[in-house]
Amino acid sequence: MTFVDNLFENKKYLYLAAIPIAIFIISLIASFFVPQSIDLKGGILIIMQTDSQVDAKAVETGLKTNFGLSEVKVTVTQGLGLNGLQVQYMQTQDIVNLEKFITDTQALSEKDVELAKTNIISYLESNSITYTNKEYESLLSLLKQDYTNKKNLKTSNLTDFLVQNYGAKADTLQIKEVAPTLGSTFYQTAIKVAVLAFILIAIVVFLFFRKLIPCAAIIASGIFDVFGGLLGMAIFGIPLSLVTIPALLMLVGYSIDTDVMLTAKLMKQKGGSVKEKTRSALKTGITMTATTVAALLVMLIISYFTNITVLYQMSVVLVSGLIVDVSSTWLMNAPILVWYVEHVNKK
Amino acid sequence: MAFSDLLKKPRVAILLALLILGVIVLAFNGLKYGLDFSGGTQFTIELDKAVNDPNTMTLVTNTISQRLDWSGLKDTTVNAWGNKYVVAQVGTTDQKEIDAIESVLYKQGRFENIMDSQILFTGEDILSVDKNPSQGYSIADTGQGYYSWTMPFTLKTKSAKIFAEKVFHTCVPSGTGSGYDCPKTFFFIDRPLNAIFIITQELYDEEQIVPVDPANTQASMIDFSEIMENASIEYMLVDDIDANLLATLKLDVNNGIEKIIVPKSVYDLSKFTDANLPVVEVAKNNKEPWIWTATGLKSIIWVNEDITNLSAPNIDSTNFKVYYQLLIRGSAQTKDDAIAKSDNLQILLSSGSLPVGVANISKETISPLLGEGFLTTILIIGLIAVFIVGLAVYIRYKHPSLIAAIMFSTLSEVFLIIVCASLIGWRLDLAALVGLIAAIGTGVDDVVIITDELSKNQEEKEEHSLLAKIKNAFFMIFAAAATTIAAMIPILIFGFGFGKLTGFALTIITGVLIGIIVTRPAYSEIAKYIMAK
Repeated sequence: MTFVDNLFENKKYLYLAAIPIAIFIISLIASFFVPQSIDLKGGILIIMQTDSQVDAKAVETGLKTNFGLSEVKVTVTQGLGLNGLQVQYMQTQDIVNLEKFITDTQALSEKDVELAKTNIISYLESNSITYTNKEYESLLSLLKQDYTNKKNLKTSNLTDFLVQNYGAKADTLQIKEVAPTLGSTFYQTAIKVAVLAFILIAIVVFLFFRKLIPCAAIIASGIFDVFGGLLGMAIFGIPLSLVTIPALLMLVGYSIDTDVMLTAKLMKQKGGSVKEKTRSALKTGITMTATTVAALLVMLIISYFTNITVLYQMSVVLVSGLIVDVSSTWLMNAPILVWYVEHVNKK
Repeated sequence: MAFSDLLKKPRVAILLALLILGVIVLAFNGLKYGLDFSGGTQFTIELDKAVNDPNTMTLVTNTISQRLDWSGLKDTTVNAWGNKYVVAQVGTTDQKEIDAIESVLYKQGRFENIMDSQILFTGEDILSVDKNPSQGYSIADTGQGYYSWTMPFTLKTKSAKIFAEKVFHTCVPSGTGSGYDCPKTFFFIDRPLNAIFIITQELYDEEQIVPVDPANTQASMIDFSEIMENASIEYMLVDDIDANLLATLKLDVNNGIEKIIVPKSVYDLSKFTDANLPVVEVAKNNKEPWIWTATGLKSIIWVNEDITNLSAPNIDSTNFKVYYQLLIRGSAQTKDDAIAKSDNLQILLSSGSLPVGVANISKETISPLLGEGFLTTILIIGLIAVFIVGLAVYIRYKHPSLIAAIMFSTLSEVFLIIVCASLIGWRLDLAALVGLIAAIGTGVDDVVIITDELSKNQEEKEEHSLLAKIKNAFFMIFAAAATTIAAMIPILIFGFGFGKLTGFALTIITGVLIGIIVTRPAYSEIAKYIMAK
């Protein structure tokens, strides 16, 4: 293949690495634009299917006007039969205030139970809620029940609004609600998982290949690929969630396969010139990536039109990452490895 | 090499053997589906404080489970996650029911102990309920083929005095030997107040006598009317709703009746609602008679003559003793049953109060309607994807039978992963199935690597033994597998996603392991055979 021949003719092949590095920098910047799903920041997600053609912006405006939502994001996806309609929003201020009142009252009860009880009683009375038991626990539970009822009523009104105005089908309703503290717990755990995964993968790669520079090249390629996935997410508006974070982890596994294969061929295989081995690795590697991408595209297209959001999102992450992998593996990892084998690790 | 020789190769033979074994396992075990396919709702409950004592956490999950049970939901699973979260799954997706359940999760029950239609004590009268052996808590093997359990609790001072006065001399000598006949007391949670029952003659006939303990097939029986008396609820036997009935009910409502309770799906509710009557339906579940569910009756326990002050002539006598510390005794067939019964009683007496408060509740509903569609679509996607992989390899390596070989080995891998799920009892949910597709993906790369190595006969100038080539291929495959597993392990270690992602990570790890141990080696034999022809 001429690419490999050119690789060896041109002494300055290491400069090819500029391309993947440039892509990485772009991805790094783009990663700040990846939206966060409610899994990580809390909020409410309503998923329904509708038989009408709906404009996302129109729905957003409608919701903001009628429900006073400050932050709402509507996504519409085309389907074969029904279209998908997703509404993601944060709780309205009045509910947030009530939450704060509850938290404050609980904190207050640690110091002055009587005052806390008085506060709760005045709330209950001004909301016409009867109470018989005056113990703190019982009053608190009434308060929390009222909060739950108010919160759920809002959501219920919102879904009714969608049914009446945008053709949403009530029996396709799915609701997901994540409390912000749960969201931040997930977020912190996600970071721990990512860090540990990175460390374990580095250890595994080193155990198999033992030499610093090739291992570093493999890991760098893996990192570039993960950011490639993030780039795809930023472009297609796929949020970071409990679904896409594992997808990114999986992407590391998939994309490292090509780098591992390349490094194994160049360093562990006996016989054949570096040029031949690189050429052979390239053929195999492109086949690997092309095959996987083909299968993933099938998954992407079908899941998009059948509204299986989870699969669609994962496919976008994997396809983006694998496309970037082509550049990271063959424009950066390969030149570094070839340089290493020819100049450092002479047999 | 003939085809029959191929089948005899150990790697291929093992794969075939496992496939057959797998069919048998699936036939016996079947598959369990998670909420994503059966439909339902999952609540993630965050507690106010971390609970480090496992016994306390068990009390928390049991109490939540009981609260759900009291609200009519019998089919729920409640599990603790870490020390600050409880995950409860219920089978319903109806929005109104879900909202009601969420409210219930914040709510204690209203507990009452009633004898002869009088309230002996309520949840507010109880000072403490403690599994304290020094106060009498015990689970013991009687040596006669069953276990006895004892649950102590303490009443507040004033309440204990009132209780002692009410049970004074209520036990009478039974005339046979030295035994006593004692009255029953009825334990209610959320007994309907100011209510009236409307039931059919048929239901009344069925439940004219009901067991004293629905869980015990040998329990003695009690009259329907006795329960209704103690619950202080009137009832009417009605088969047809006519104008007379509606008029009578209107009068009752004017006189203070707040609820008209009927069995579910028996009457035409619109007749009540059109007349502006407050009607509530209660469903019959198969664990207890309808009357138990409708009245909120949870347990029937006899007074013991020891606390009825047999030796004191009257309540003003100096011999009259007030017992603050009371015990409830019962029996069960097995030790686990005894523990479960005493635990449930503890929760009853505590009115379902949680040792730790609920900070907030997150929830997720999945509609079952979408479930079946998901499954079929995913299967189709999987098949098409596998076919495409086969097609791509054919285009590259030019042996048409390779397509069949690849589809066979990939589908075997999927099958074996599902068999593993069945063996361990995993619930397959969307995350696990996605993991399945991901595992196939890693298999794709391996397949290309193996086929590639085997096809290099024509391209290389130097002779390499087949063994060395396969060794090369497997080095790469093991390295790739190891990195994938390394990426998934942290999910398991940190319990990321509270169980939802555990299925995903486990499926991928299992898929990768099955791949490198069983299906890839088998595929390498099959591919060798095909490409040698």
